[in-house]
Amino acid sequence: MTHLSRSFIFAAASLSLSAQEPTPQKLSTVVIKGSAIGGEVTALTPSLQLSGKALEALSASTLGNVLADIPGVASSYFGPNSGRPVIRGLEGDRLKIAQNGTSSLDASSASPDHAVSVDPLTIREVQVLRGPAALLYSSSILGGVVNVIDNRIPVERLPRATTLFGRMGSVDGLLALSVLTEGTAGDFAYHLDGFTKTTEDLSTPLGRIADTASDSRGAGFGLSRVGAFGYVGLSYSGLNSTYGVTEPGIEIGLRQRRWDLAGAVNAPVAALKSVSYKLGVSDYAHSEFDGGVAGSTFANQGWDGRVDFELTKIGSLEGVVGLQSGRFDFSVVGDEAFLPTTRNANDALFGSFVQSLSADSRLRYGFRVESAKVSADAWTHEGLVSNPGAASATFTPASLAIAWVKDLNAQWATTFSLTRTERAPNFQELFADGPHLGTDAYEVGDRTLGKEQGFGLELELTKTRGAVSGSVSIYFNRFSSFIAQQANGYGPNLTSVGGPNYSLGGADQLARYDFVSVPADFFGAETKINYQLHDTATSKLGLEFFGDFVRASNRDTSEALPRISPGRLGAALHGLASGWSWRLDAAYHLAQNRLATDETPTAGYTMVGASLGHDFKLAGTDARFTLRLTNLFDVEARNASSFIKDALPLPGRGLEAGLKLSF
Amino acid sequence: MAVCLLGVWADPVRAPDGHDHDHGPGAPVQYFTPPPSAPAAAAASPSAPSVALPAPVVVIALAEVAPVVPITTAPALIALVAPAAVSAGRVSAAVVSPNTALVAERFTANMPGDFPEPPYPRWARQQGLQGDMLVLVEVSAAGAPVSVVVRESSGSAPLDAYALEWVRRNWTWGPGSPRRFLVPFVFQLR
Repeated sequence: MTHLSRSFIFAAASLSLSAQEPTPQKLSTVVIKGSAIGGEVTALTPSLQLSGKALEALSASTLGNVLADIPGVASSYFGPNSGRPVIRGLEGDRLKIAQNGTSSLDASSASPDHAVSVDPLTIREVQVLRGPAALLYSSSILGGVVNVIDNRIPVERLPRATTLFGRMGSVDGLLALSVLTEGTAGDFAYHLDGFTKTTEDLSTPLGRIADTASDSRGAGFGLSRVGAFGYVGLSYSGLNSTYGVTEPGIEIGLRQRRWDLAGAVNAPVAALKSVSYKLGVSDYAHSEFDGGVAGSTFANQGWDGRVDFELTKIGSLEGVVGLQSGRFDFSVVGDEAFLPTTRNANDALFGSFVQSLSADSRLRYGFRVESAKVSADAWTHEGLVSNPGAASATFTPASLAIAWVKDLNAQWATTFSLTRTERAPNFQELFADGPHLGTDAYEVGDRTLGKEQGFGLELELTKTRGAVSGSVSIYFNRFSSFIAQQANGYGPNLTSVGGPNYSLGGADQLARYDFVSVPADFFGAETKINYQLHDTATSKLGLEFFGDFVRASNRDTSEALPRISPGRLGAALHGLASGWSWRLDAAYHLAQNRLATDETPTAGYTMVGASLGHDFKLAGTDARFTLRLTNLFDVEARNASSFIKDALPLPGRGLEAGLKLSF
Repeated sequence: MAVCLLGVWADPVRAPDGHDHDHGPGAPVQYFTPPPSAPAAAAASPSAPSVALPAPVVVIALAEVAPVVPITTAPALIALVAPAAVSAGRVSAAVVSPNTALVAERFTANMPGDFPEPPYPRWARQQGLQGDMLVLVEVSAAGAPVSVVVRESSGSAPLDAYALEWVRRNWTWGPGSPRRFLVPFVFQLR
């Protein structure tokens, strides 16, 4: 099952010819429509997707960086090797990152220094889903859902293609090589990819930052039987990565192995257009090495599976209903054992639909009901509570979304969305009790936490055709309960039981943060407008304006929520001439002076960049050369959404070159 | 199963006026993108059918099947001629004499046969490949596609091959006499 809208038309044919003067005559034309962003709408349509050249032109370092240029998205930026996207101020478990529709089963939502277990070099497509379509993947959708697609399981016959892609970068000493080969043999389609990537310590306007180098390798192999029936395929993939997290002498060694099964059956019965299924089984672990000695090890072993039933159009109604189920065991052992071993279960029933109301308006709506259970083992541990016993918590989050899409005319459309979301607290929010080095805090969970609940309103105006195109949206998200970390003095003094002293003035003094439920408001706006000044097949020139803005507050205290990138305003000039595509962009990032307790402000800054791409033949082989210049003026800048913004500025001036060969 | 979704799109794609006919294999068809001078030539063509016949540009792998009907024979006929010209006598003449070119009939979705919808391939969507193409299908008396040829390329070789492969693998016509059809494909990303 591909997540794209498609249709097929045989236009009516009419034959009316006279011998002398032929009048227009229509052949039945087979129209195959793909991937509608802002145009045609189905229950599966993502609101944004990146693939192909657009994706390759972006930074290769982290998923957060890949998406960070999109209005509304920031990166959590824990150094050059670890960064999750933050959308509309929402991050962590609130912003689901799916891998081919199932969970990525890593440890990235537990701490900002844990990398997402998907290297950008293996990503072939990123989708950002919002509103009812996002309910296919998560019940927490006010920021959206990010779905990363690696193509490892072929879903159809593939044209034979082999590509080699090399990259070099100056700012982090990047050396990367990736290879991809795909094709079809008989009824089987295959995919093979692999990459190796090394980086050195990051260069910033303040000099090189120690302990930020990395070394990663990954590979994946997939094989599918494809045919008129649909497809069924299996893939196996692995990722090994060692990376620094800016802390002196600390290095994280990550290893994941993953099996995936996926398939789809076309039209098994009249009522269904297709049934697709996916199952991922993963074994993930990372160790935090201190001077070469493993301090603590985080492990996540589990599986996640789903079945999607795509319904045959009934009248004006199209839709998908499905089931998703996942289990994972999460454990931390060693110095940083701030969590008991937990068993996590999540089962979901979901549906997402599109209903045409009239020729120019439609309703999209969806639901997702989950049953979530977190069980903690008995824990031999000294903390605020000594040796806590086994415990479990069960939740049934239910989320609903509805969006009314109205075409104002052939060019303009408006969408009004209402969303009600609920999210079960995760193992960390419930059971944490100990020192967490990634956030430099003594974290304390609350076993009595209830569900996180929010309500969102959004109004979007889009223009899809014409020389000027783009969208503007404004949103307001109100959480009646938002699970936040609240400063609460310092950690406990455990010297009486032979432990460290985390209290104020103690040898291991550590600020204490409690997971608490607070009422919170988020509001903001996003826009991206392109003015195509010139547009022919071989020569283009466009001017783009983009911007975003978000403000987040604790409604009880009127205090700001922490780590919010306040917004930016930017412009870009892009074009194509004589086979060269180019882009110049500049963005002014606003200063953040609305701060949470103990948070430091970040100054405003302007980033200027440029990129260049050229397709050519190299000894008869298709080649593409790309060049990217970042932070042209070597500006010292701090990312407001980063946990370590005080210690780590954004990368300095850098040049990155890439060469891709397609055989 | 032929799927007919008439009226779904506000702007159904239609063949450009005067370019819905075949000029013979290898001839510059320019179905979707006529050059400035083409309309005049097209308008004149029914009364003056004179087209050279080199070999087709692209033939999908069908070597194992002997063509039932030769495609490259003279005299060439314009694919879709005025209804009067497409008389039963003319068509049967083509069957009787292999030296007479077959007339390309117009393709409609509701004709007897099975024309399943091709999905937009994921690889093409991800790479942003799109384009309009014109496919010439030669159908045996039994209804199987014997030769599937690109008459006008989409501009992307893999996309062309995909459409040809799809027709060759998945489309069948009802039994009848050997026939030829011109099928316009439009791959469109929005």
